[in-house]
Amino acid sequence: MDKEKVIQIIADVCEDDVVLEERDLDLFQEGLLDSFGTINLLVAFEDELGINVPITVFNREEWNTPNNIVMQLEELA
Amino acid sequence: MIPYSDFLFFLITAIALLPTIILGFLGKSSRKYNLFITVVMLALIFGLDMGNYTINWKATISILLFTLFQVLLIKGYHSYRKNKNHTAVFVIGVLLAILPLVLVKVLPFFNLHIFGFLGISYITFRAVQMIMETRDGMMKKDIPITELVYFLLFFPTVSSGPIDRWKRFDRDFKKVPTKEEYRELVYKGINKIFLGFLYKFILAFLLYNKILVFLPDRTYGVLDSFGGHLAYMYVYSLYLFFDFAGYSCFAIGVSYLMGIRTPKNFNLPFISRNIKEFWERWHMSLSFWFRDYVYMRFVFWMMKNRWIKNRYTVSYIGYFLLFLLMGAWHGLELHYIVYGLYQALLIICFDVFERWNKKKKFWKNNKWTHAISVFITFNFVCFGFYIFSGALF
Amino acid sequence: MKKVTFVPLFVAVALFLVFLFFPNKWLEKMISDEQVDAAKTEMNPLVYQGKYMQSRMLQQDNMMPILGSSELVRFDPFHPYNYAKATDAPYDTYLVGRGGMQSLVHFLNIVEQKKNLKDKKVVFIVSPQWFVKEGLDEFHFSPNYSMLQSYDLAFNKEIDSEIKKRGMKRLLTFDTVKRDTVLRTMYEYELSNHKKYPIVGKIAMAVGSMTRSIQHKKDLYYSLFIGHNPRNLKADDTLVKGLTFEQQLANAEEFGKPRVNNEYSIKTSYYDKKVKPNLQELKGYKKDEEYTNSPEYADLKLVMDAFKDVGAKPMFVSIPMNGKWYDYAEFDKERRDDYYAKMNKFLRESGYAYVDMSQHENENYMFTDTLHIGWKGWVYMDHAMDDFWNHNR
Repeated sequence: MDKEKVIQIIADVCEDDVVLEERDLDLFQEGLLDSFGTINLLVAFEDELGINVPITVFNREEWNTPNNIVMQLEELA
Repeated sequence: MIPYSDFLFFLITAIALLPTIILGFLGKSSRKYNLFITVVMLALIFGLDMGNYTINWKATISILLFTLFQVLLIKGYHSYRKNKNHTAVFVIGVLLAILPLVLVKVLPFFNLHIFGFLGISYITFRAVQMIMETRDGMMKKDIPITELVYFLLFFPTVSSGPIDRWKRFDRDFKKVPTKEEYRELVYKGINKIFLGFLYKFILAFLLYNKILVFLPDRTYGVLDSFGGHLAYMYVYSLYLFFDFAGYSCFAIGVSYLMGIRTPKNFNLPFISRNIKEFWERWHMSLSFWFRDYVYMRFVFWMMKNRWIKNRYTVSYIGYFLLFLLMGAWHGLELHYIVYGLYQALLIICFDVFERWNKKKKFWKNNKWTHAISVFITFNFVCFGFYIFSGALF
Repeated sequence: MKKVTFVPLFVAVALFLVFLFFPNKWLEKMISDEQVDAAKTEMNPLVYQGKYMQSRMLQQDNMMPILGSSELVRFDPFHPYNYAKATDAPYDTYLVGRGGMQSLVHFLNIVEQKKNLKDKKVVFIVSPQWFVKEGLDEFHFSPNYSMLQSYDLAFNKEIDSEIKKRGMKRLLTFDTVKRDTVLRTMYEYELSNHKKYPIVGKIAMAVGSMTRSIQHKKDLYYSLFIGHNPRNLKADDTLVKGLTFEQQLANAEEFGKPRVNNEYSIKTSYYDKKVKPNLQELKGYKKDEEYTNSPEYADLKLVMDAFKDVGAKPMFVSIPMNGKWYDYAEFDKERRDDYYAKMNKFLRESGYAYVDMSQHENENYMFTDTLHIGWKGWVYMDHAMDDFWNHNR
């Protein structure tokens, strides 16, 4: 799995390039991601990476930072 | 017997929990004992008719059948999901799980009062959650029946939540807290319970009995009609918060004493800067439930199928669905439906504004705008509760 | 992790126990005679709903309390309390009454003071407005109802069982009473001659007896704070002291004249604020009311029977309606006379002393607003009280 691609997807959904730099940023606490953004993210993962992440699997405790999201995706893929 | 409504309930609960607390302080497992007192407490809550101190057979049989139905449904779907995963079966499963609740809400309109009991919606919320998470493949392991029933009917939260999540509940259920951990649980639990006393039996009680009963139009001429309604709007909102937050504190506090860290339901909702934040602070376990199991699923499903091009349109339809359902869940009366529409409109207007502001940077972020935002949000929220109260129509 | 300590909890429990077991005798010593004196006219509901303060007042020499409702708050130089002080009347008085305090509320107070009321003269003011079709409603009952007195009723062995049961039965029609599980159970237990719920009833009595002693303690704690806020009694001895009845009446008329700007004998301040702005809507607003058919009659009978049982010597004062205003409200003379006739008969048949003021209903300066007597109205009552005190002494 292409780590940089995942980060780029996250940055696109969040509409903020800070994601590319600070990879331990809590996306929910920073207000970069909400439930609508989460859905966009999941759709993008499915479309562009072919990884299906069920909604309930994506919880805000373990999928909160770019690095954590990459890690969780690696476990799923 | 209605939980946390009178001194007697607290007295019985305290006596019942004494062995739990002793076992906890010794660092021993109180799981079996807790299962036992849950049965006893459920019998008191559902089975005892406080009107004339007899057994309430109707409620007892209703709850037993209802639980049996939900357990069979969850177990059935769980074993089906091991091999297959048809969407139709999933949809039927969810519909079946909410069917009893829908009947309870709808049948009275046809003058049929067949069954219905305290807490039916909260048990339903937990059951639907089980089916949804099974569908998502979250339930890899087997679901032990005893634990499932314990989760559905956990007595501290059975009547009005908070709505816990299986994964979280399961973790606490399986783990025996160490002496130190349990000390902290008791500390926090007792704190919560006393906070609940302050909220529900002092603040909410006083707000209701000293102010609210005279509003909106029994002020003996102190306030005119408009003033009376305005005062009613604010006082009712505060009353609603202290009453329900107080109740939630009890439910959480008692859960803690039993080693279950039930999630909180209120997080200072009146300091929210906008309506979105408000719904992350008010009746949180319910709004998160609707967010995760209604809104997100709906939006995801719509986007995947690409039936509507504009993603924001999809999101807004999702909000309407969420809040209409939430409104209808409170009751099918007009004011609850309007309340749902009102909240959906608020959140959509805010979303449009938020996106516009992101580009234009009109509303900067400093302590003044923060204070003004809180003030505006508070007023919109209170007006929402004013609709909710039914005083408007 | 926060430091977990249970010390504050134990301190709180210890403090609570100190409060709970603080000797009543010591508390009683802390309540001064000056406080008791001030409490006579403080118009404090804690006095009406309590026991201790009234018992101290009743134990004083030559005490003749006045039980009534909202008219008692309307102080002027002719108010019975001021009158008794100014004319060095041979009796002293204290006042029990505010809006919504109707017969049933007084009933509880009368049986509570059973021991202290023996052979005491009491003035009881009956207002026509109590006798609406619905009688005393929840809204007026609930803020005036005394939990202490209603619990004591269940344990009162000194009053006649039939009267006690009649009172309980009537009290059980109010939600405020029904909602109190313990109280409701004790009443039902008593009403069924201990047949209904033989076990639960005994438990309720045990719990009720504890609640009752806490209520008594609470009454004493509250009494510490009574009598520190004296009212402005608006006394002016020169208008009554050493004068004849006719002179006093003339003074009352002189006193009222500059204070009234309308044809209904309503005080200017009240008229301009409450009546004048709504004059159109108020025309005929009582055209469908009548006061001859009301559950209040049975409640008043209960009061009469309670007086007999406790051995008190009451005088009933029947207040008329403000004739001129009632004409405007289209509560016509015929219906008013029906009420006066019925009340007169009711009082006469009771065998007690009574004063019927109905012939004064159209006099100027008899009332100070649409329903409350004052000025000349008080002068009539003052003399009725003098006569009552001196008569068959």
